[in-house]
Amino acid sequence: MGKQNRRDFIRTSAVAGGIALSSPIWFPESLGFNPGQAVSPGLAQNGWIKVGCPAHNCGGRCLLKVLIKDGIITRIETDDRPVDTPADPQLRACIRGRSYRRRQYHPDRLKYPLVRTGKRGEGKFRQASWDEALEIMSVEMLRIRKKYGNQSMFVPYGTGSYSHLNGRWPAERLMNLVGGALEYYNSYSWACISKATSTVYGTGITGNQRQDWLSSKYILMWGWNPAEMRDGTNSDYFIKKARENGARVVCIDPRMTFSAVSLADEWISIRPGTDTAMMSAMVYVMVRENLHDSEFIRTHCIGFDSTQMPKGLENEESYLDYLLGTRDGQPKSPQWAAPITGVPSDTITRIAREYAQTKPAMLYQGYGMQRRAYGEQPVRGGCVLAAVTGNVGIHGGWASGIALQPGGGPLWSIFPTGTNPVKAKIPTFLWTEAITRGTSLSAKEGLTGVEKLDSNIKFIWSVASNILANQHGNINRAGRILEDENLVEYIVVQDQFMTASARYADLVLPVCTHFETWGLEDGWKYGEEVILMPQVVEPSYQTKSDYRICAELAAKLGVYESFTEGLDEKGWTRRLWDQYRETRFPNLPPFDQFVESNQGVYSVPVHNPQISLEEFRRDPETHPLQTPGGKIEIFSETLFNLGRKDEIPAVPKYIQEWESPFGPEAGSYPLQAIGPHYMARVHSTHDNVDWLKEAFPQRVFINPIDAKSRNLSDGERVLVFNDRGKISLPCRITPRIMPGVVAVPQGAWSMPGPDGTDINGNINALSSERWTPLAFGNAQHTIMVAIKKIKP
Amino acid sequence: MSNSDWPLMVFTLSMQFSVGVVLLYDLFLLFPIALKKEKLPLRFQMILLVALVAALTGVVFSLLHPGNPVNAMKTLSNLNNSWLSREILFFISYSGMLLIVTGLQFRFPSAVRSYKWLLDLTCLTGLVLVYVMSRIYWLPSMPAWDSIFTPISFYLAMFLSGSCFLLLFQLNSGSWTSQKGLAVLIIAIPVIQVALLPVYMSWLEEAGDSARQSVSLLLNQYLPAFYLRLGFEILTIAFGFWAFFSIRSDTLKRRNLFIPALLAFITMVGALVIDRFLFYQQIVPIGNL
Amino acid sequence: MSTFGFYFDSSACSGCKTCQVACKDKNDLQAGIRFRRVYEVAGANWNKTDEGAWEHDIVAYNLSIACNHCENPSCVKACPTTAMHSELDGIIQIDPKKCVGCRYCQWACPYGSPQYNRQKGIMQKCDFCRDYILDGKQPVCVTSCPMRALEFGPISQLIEKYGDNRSVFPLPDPSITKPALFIKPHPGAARASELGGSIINREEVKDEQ
Ligand code: SF4
Ligand code: SF4
Ligand code: SF4
Repeated sequence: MGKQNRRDFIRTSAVAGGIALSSPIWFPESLGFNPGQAVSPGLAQNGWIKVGCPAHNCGGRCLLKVLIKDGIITRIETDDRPVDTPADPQLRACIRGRSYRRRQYHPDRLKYPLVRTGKRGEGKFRQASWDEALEIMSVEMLRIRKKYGNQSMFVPYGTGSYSHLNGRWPAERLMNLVGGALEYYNSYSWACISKATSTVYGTGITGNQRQDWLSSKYILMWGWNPAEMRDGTNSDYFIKKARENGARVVCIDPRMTFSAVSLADEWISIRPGTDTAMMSAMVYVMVRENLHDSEFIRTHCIGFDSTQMPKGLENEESYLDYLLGTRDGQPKSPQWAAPITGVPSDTITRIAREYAQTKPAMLYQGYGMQRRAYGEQPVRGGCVLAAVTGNVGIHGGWASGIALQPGGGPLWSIFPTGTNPVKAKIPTFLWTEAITRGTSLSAKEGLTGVEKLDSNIKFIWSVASNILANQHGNINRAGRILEDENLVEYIVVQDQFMTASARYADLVLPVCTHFETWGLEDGWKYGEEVILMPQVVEPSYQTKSDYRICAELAAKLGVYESFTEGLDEKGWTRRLWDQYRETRFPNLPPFDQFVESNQGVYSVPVHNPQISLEEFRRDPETHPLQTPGGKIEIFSETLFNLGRKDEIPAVPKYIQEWESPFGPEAGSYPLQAIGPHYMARVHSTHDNVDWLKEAFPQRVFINPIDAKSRNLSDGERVLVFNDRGKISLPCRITPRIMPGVVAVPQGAWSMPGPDGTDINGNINALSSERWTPLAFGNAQHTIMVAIKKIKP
Repeated sequence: MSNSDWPLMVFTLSMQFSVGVVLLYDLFLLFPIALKKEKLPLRFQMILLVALVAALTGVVFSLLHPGNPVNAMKTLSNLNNSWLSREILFFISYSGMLLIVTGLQFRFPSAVRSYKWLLDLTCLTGLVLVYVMSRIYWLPSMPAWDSIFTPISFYLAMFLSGSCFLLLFQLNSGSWTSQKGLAVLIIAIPVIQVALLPVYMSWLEEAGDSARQSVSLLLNQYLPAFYLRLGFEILTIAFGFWAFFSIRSDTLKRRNLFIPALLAFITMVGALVIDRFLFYQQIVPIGNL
Repeated sequence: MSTFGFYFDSSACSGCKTCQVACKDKNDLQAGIRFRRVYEVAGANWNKTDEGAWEHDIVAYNLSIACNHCENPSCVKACPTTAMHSELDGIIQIDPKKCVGCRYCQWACPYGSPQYNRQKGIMQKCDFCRDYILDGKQPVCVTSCPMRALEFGPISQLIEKYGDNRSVFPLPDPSITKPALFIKPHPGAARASELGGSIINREEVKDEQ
């Protein structure tokens, strides 16, 4: 409202005369969807149907209820099961799920196959028939396979529109049936945390079921922001419930996140990339004040002090040595940590006392801090804090780390993709290296399964993925690599929109949405449930499901029978459903009955939440961990043996990042830029949805102090840049981010302007392709930038 | 200024101008003439015509807006509660009466005394109209408007614009006493306006967060306009004095009046336009929601 | 007058705007029109300490505001056409056939609730999901909230359950319209005014029409 609030009655006809309508609303009908069109048998013509959300990689798994009218979705609501308790909460969809109609009926949906006509990356295409498109694709596949072998074929990581059935899984299955393809391991999300957690615990299953949070008395949300990233549907709600039960919640984060505002009693701002410094100082305080659980450390841990070092390494630096500065002369005191972390030493001391003395306590670490230069360190640091306070394996406690669930997920897919005849694997993030110098990669770059690759990547089949030119580090570089037709010889992109990655394709295949095909989901990381995704409307235009496309391609490649096993999408959904009954949910009702009932979700109420590492806690001798020493490895012998102590120390240490406010690079680029998840998107999915853009426009968030010194005013378009690229976008001045740090929400669709400046604010024009030392993970959040006014 | 403000500005100002002209015409010109039973100078017809044109400008800016007279009828449905309904009622009545009276004057210029009652009634309606108009803005949701200052400023604008116009119009034909009277108004009203400013501002300071933000808008973002307006007011006062001292009973010397009267008129327009501009610009809705 | 009201737990609201979009979906609202808006309030002082660390005293919270179906609705009084009217159940509704789009209700409402639809030339506003209520269901925004921060019910019941607090910084004095909106303020809200707090997401809540 504000100053726009004017009485229009007295406005002239000049106004009525034709000021442009501010934002066009589109109607399905105007896009060629005819209400009343014939729908396939089995599809409802009218009424409410329950269908799972998401079809994108958020951390939630929710339930939508869509209202179908004449074959068109006219409204979207959410789980309204009458009972909504912590044991079995409603799976309420977030803003992204609720705005899905604007994506489903977006006029820019890809409508038919496209074949490149211009230069690669130029974005010029012609329409093709499905038959022609798949013919071209199969010919190219066979040609490249013949010339370079199966190791040259690659289906990259990607988490666009997918379910257990659709997305990249059927493509993997098909590749495996025709000789396999170069494989990847780890992910863009969790590279460091999955690797580093097991160096401490020998497992990733370190989390308790969420209902257990209600027993906690103190919760440290360390860089963890369930409200924005949706780390499990209802995770934010469970924290709310824990608070109602008396838990004190403290959030440590460079931003005062949605979670900090709504879930925490206190927000502590910390400089990105310095978490391990604060963690170390906290343990230092505990040791100094004798607040640590020395009994638990004695019985359950290795390497805390010189008395419990692994055999033969007694003289190496123990964790206590590191803390007290025995070897390096620098005690890791709060006074040492304060200027590094930006957290006052008093605060560090107080939080150390609170966390050590309030029992039981949870330290839940988020994933952003491990997508950084030495992302392995804060993961190990968080686990060690949980261990030295004895919060492992108990009710209301939390062992920290990746915190997978006992007996549960996450399972990305249970679709049987088969066995890959190609044994070679690269780290997910290193696909650009496998393109440019694949044959020279070795274990040093994380190559596994083979000594050397036979070929660089020559064929890319990107399904439900915007990794290529949007989500990778340093996309300007990635774009240059993809552009070169001598490197990758053929690129196929399968998606619903002309994404930045699709612009680099030689062939673009249009995919239908999850409303237009069958699928299913489970509760992912949390939640004991199976969620059905029945087809509710006909595929739009000429789109097909990923599964269908793969099946038709399989026919061209002569493996149709073995690929489909005679099943269509619904048939496979039934098969996967049954598989869940056999493996995890014995009481899952028969598929057809469940479809008929229109319940949408099958859930198992959790009344007695399971606790990870409980048996180990009770009896570490009979139930040792899968670590070399069978105990919690504060000092890791395995890491020690790597012999790279500067980058991969055996105890968790703070290491100054390769781009940091303390390095020389801060001279030209004084601001740290982080790329948080944004409510307007899930990674890059939904960036073109107007309701979301209206609610959460793409902005660079900057503290008033930094804005003032640059003379910026709120809403003004600014240039954010470093040596790797430039982006321009309006700024939002907010006290909810600490000085010295700016946030550019990740995932905006890359839109390079004429001079190469990204005008949509994609942070990956600034991020780097450098990977972390141990996990070979992406360190995309470690970047320094400068900001200046565009208009002087 | 958001592009939707200027019609409102033109509307309120032209209506206040119209009422001011009609009222002062009635008081300063017709009244003495009627008393002395003199004949109405022919060119006085033009005065009402100007007032009518001003009112018709208002018509253009309001009733014709939807291009649909039915809408105008609809807006009369809430006379019990809505100041906007009432404004439209009085607006229609005022414009209608003015139309008739102007017509009569052209048709029967010499019988002015027989329908002067209608002109008096038009004046009264106009006065009520200006009040009702101000009540539209007198809203708890808009703290900077939410006070007696709104009608005061509307009435002052009405008197000032009316007197400036009439003085300019009757350079040769008016009686020197009425001219002196108009010049006094041209001096006195801006003086009151300027004197009220600090009172208004200090009242705003006390009237809550949003009102305080209005003050800071005036004193920061709109400070140049604010000063410009003050400057125009002071000039109007100065030209008012000039005019006052140029007025002689001796008709031969009257020509001198043209320049100060014209300058006073111009600076008055400047002051009122900026004043009204700021009136809309300064508004910060309560809670700034 | 009014029978129903909203309860809003500002301390639990994350500002996710699911309520805003759920409402837009139900009412088919184009971008720029928001029956429910989520205001982000924040204020803080940031200071560098002698140690080189940062200290702050920040307050930040969200206010999700629709129409409050006020017991003393200034919009209804202002409306010249009676398009804005109170139903017998106290729900304030706009009759699109009567509305002439003068936007006066928008001026009169201290909550920014009535929204102008330029394409239709009329005002639109939250109708409390009256069709749902009459059907015995809850308003869509209420059932959408992932934080369960919104509730709906008869006013007397809400007051009994949550008390009669209808104000929080920077909402206007509730005596103006008596909004049927019962608020649990965020714990920080008490300090917001003294910290010079303000709405910092203005571009996300303004009426663009
Ligand atoms: S909130 Fe505004 S629109 Fe709603 S009833 Fe109150 S005054 Fe009217
Ligand atoms: S009650 Fe209905 S119309 Fe009103 S804000 Fe909520 S969803 Fe929108
Ligand atoms: S849905 Fe709930 S938590 Fe989200 S903005 Fe609305 S009221 Fe707040």
